[in-house]
Amino acid sequence: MKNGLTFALPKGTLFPDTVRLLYKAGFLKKEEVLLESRKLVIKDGPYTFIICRPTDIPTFVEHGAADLGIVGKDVIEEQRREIFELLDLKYGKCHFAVAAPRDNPEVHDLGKLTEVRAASKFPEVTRRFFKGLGVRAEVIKMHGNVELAPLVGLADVIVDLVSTGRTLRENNLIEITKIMDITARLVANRVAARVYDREIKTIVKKFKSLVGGEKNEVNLK
Amino acid sequence: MRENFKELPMGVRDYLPGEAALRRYLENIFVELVAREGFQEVVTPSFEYYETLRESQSETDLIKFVDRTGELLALRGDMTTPIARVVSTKMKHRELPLKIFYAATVFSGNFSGRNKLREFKQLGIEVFGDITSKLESDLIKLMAVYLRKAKVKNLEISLGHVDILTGLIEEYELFNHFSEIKDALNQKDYVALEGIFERAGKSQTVRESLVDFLQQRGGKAILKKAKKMLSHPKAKKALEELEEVTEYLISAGVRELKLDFSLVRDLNYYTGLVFEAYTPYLGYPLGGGGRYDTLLKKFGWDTPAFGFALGLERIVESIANSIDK
Repeated sequence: MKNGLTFALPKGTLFPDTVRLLYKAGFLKKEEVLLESRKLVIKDGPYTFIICRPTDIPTFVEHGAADLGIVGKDVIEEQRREIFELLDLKYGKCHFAVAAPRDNPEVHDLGKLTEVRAASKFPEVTRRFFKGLGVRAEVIKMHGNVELAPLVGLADVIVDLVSTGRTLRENNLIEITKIMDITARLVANRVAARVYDREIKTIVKKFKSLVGGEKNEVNLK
Repeated sequence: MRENFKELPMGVRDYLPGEAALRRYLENIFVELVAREGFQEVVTPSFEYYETLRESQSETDLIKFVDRTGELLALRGDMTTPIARVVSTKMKHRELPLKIFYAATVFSGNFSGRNKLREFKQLGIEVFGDITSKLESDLIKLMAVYLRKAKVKNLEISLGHVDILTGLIEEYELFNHFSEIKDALNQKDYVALEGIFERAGKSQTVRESLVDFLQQRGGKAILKKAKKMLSHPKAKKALEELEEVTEYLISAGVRELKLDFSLVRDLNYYTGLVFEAYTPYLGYPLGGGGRYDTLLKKFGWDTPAFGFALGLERIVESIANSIDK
């Protein structure tokens, strides 16, 4: 048997809160171990941490290269991999929204559209959303600065993550529909969650108590 | 123009001598073992009418094509449906129980990532006729014995029952959310599950106890807890069956066993006991199976059935991983 569980952690916006959570849970001796290191694989105490791009985390976890991962619901929804989603960690709050230029009211009521061109970094989420709405969508996959697309006539609307709404305002876009709320989630490999079930349940409990999740009042035991 | 000339398409691969020999060996010891237990081989074609295969698999999972006469055909996505078709149409008058085995290539239209193959080999068995708990446990034991012979390390077998979920849904009046709940469990999304229970108007205490319940995994002790929580006749019967099979398996020396209420297999033809086999050396199940009592009726023979399938490539990969480490 291998020893100790492996966590895949997301570089980027979720990283500081993730490191804090691990530190508070007692899984890290010092926050600096992760924050100041350039290493991609770090062993601290019983756990091994691998630091990777958020979009790669479902891949690592699905294939069992990591037993556990912390990743935004946005990435999970876009990729829909075969992984277990164990806990809402409640940080990294934002939401998926459809936004359109303020001065193009024709596309503000999506229910009235039959066709739309939508730009997004999340083509699958976008496709599914418009399919559910019964609107035929031409989805344009972008890698960044999605706000540009409607401004230069590449798309009618965008589907993107919105947290404060400032980027939208600054680019003269308005949110026309919210698609879903997003937070960071604890995910697990489907075999690891079974084989290391006891260890993982302890971790879930610990995280739950730290992220201000509702108290588990009823115990089945 | 001929840039693919020397390449293979995504999702298929060659097996060179060393690996091919290991595959051959693993297949041979499977065939030898099940033949000794009285199983007989059935061979079916690689492709059939799409409408036959669609009975058990979703559209996107099948590789479809149209032949010259305009018939819609598909490559088989598993062996259970073709075998159900064969036995119901051609073998139902034989002596029961019918014990069938296969070692066959199947195909998947839904592939992504490094490990998903579009063509892979399944080793499996199917039994038709009067199926008792004793027989079910013998068959699960057979799978365990094979995986031990194959030298799969740290084997674990999860055991569940589909009527635990059905019973729970009826008992907690969640009928309107049935498919949502199944989807969430299939995607293993416990966060969504809690959201569904919330929308169904369940109090926080009930929500949490339901989610916690569906994550239960362990030995016989969790059956006791489950009995306290569920009183619906379907769930009660499911728990009794699980208990019986567990007892048989433990007395037969199958100690790799864990009861698992979250186990919902992806295929929707299962009607009773379900199980999956794992090893920590592989990130996905080696295989699994269960009871399916309604599939054959669709082919005109109303008979209970039980079977399992193991992925040959997965067994090989887990063995390779366990040697590396």
